[in-house]
Formats: sequence, C-alpha cells, structure tokens
Amino acid sequence: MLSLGIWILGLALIGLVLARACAQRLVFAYPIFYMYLAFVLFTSLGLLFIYWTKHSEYSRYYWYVEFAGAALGCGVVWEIYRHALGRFPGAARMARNGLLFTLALTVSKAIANASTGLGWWPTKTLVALERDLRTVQAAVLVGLAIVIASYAIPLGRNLWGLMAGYALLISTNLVTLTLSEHLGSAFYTTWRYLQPLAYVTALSIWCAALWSYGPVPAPNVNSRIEQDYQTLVQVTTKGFLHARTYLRKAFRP
Amino acid sequence: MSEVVLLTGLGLVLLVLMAVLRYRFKSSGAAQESMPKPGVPLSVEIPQELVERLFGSDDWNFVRAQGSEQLSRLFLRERRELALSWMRGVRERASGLMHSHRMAARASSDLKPLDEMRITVYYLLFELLCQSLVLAVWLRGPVALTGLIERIDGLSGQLARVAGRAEPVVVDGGLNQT
Repeated sequence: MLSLGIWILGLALIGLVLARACAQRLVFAYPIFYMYLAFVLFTSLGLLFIYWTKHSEYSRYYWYVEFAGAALGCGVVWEIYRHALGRFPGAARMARNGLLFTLALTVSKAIANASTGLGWWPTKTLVALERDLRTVQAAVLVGLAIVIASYAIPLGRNLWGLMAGYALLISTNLVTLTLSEHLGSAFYTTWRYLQPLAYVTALSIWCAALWSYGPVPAPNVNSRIEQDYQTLVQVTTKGFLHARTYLRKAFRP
Repeated sequence: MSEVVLLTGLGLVLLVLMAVLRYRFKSSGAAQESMPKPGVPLSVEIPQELVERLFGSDDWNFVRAQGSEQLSRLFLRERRELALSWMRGVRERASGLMHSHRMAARASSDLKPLDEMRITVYYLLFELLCQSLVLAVWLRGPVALTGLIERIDGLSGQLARVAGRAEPVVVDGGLNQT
C-alpha cells in the first residue's frame, strides 16, 4: 500500500514538473529531459493499468520499460553535457577526452570478456543490461561533475537541479540493481521501497529547481587568453616549476 | 564481489561529487564569487625585513638567555603559528594560480588535455611538498627552519608575481590579462 502511495505521489510530481515546464516554456530549453519525463509518466500509467488488470504480466513489462527509460536517460546525460559545457570549449574538450577514456575502458572490458569466452556483451538479462547502461551513465556523470567542479562551470538553478536529481536517480538505481543482483531476494524488500523513494526525492528536486526559469550566470571570457592558451600554459607551468625548485631547495638548507 | 564493490562505489562517488558541487556552488552565481578578486591579496603580506627578524635566531637567543621556560614555550608556540600561517598563505597563492589558470583555460578552444593534466600534476606535487613543509614545521619547530623560511618567502613572492600575470582582470565589459 505504501509503495502504491509513493507511486501515485511520483506520478503527481511528474505531472506538476511537466505542467510547470509548459507554463514556463522550459520544455524548449531541455526538450530531451522533458521527453524522458513524459515517457516515464505515460509508461508508469500504463504499468499501473497492467498492475491492476494483468498482474502476472507486470514484471515482464516493468523491465522492458525500465530498460527503455535507461536508454532514453543517455539523452538526458547528453543534454546536461551540452548545456553545462556548451559555452566552455576548453572544459568541453577535457570532458570529451574523459568520455573517450571511459569508452576505451568499456571496449577493453568487452574485448577481455570475449577473450575469456564470456562473449562481447556479457549481460544476459534486461536487469543486467539496464545496470550496464546505468553504469556508463554514472561514469559519464562522474566525469562531468569533476570537470564542472575543476573549471568552476556555472550551472544555474535549472541545470543544477536537473543534474542533481538525475545523478541521485542514477546512483540509487546503480546501487540497488547491483545489490539486488548480488543479494537476490534478501534485498527485494529494501529495493521495493528504496527505488521509489529515490525517484520521489529526485522528482522533488526537479520540481523545486525547475519551478521557474533560472538564468545561467554569464561566463567571464577573456578573448586574449583564449587566443593565447600556450602562453597561459607556459606561465602557469613556469610558476609551478619555480615553486617546486624553491621547495626542494628548502628541504636542503 | 569486486564488481559489486566497484559499481556500488561508483554510485556513491557520484552522490558525494554532487554534494561537493552543491557545497562549492551554493547558488547559481557562486562560481563567479569563487574567483579570486583581482588586486586583493590572498594572504597578509609580511615585509622581508620583518620576516627575517621574526624567523631569525636573534630573538630566540634573547628569549632563551632570559632563562624562563614559560617564556620560551610561549615564544616557540607563537612562532610556530606564524610559520604555519605563512605556509597557508603560500598554498593559497598556489591555489590561486591554479584557479586563475582554469578560469582562463576553460573557455579556450585551443586547450590541450595533456597540458592540463601536466599542470594538475605540478599543482598536486606542489601541494604535497607544502604539506611536507607544514609537517616539518610541526616536527622541527619554527626556529630550526630559518633556511626554509627564507626560501618559502621567495617562493611566495614569485608565485604572487606569476599569479598576477595569469590572473584575469576585469576591464570595461570584459576580462583582460594583467
């Protein structure tokens, strides 16, 4: 009964976030994210209908919908990347290299699995496939968060809330899917409440952050420095090299 | 089992990172506020003559000649605090240099990831060396560090000059480099 209550609360919150998005025209700013939310709303209503009418079929449909949602979530991550780093080509290049590194790791793992006879794609179930998708999304979001923190990228209230809510959803999903696969039915009760609770929390974050339009602070851009990145690197490198030399000498008075 | 730890760890790291981001940018404009203000010193400047006097052995010899254990302890404690405060200042300058670099580099379309990684390594090494010096101050005491202090003072000034060159400065309607 409690889980059903959380489910209905979640649906109401999605409806509210979507209604605000239409009213504030935020739907044009983050189209993929709102498409994802609309997908979640309609599939949740469909699942609720199946839950009441064909209960035995519910589990099968649930995992199909979850997997489709995870696949659509990749678009949300891309939207976060585009909005956060679109105005910062340098930081975006760092993020792209990080993503390529993540991709290289994934491909290496697939090759290693193939060479040990596990096949290119070792997952056999939709649950495992969804977990793999969430893993890639989590790795990409970790990389994005590191770049955003390192380069002090201003996000603005809307984008910050979108990213925070989605990161909460992804991390909870990843942890619960991993533990449920490892612990089996022992984890089922916890998973049954933890997952919807995380979803409602993420929706509450989105509801608060995307209630109205919040402008992204304008970046301070220095065109001269942009044109002269090598000089900047030389100046900074020289500063640290001199500093290190002084400190090394300091250890040998 | 290792996969469970790895994936659970990844999920938790993501949560921690989001909390760090929240802390760093409490509001949407926090990133701008966190930029070092051009022209504002990152730590209290101490003139060279005063530094030499504060960290030289003359005062310590004088205090020790008084034969008061309590006075010697008080003197050493105050000098240690001063030395640590100075180290904090040096680290702040290094941090300011790194911050200024990233503020300028983030918008550069010519950015080279390898150069960025190299500079990050330099910074981390420098931080490590600074922490080692702080430890040395704690273990050896400030008076025994006369040679060290003189060098740190030179480093502090040098970093300030370098940071000043790299630091973006607001000019009418935009930023410029000093």
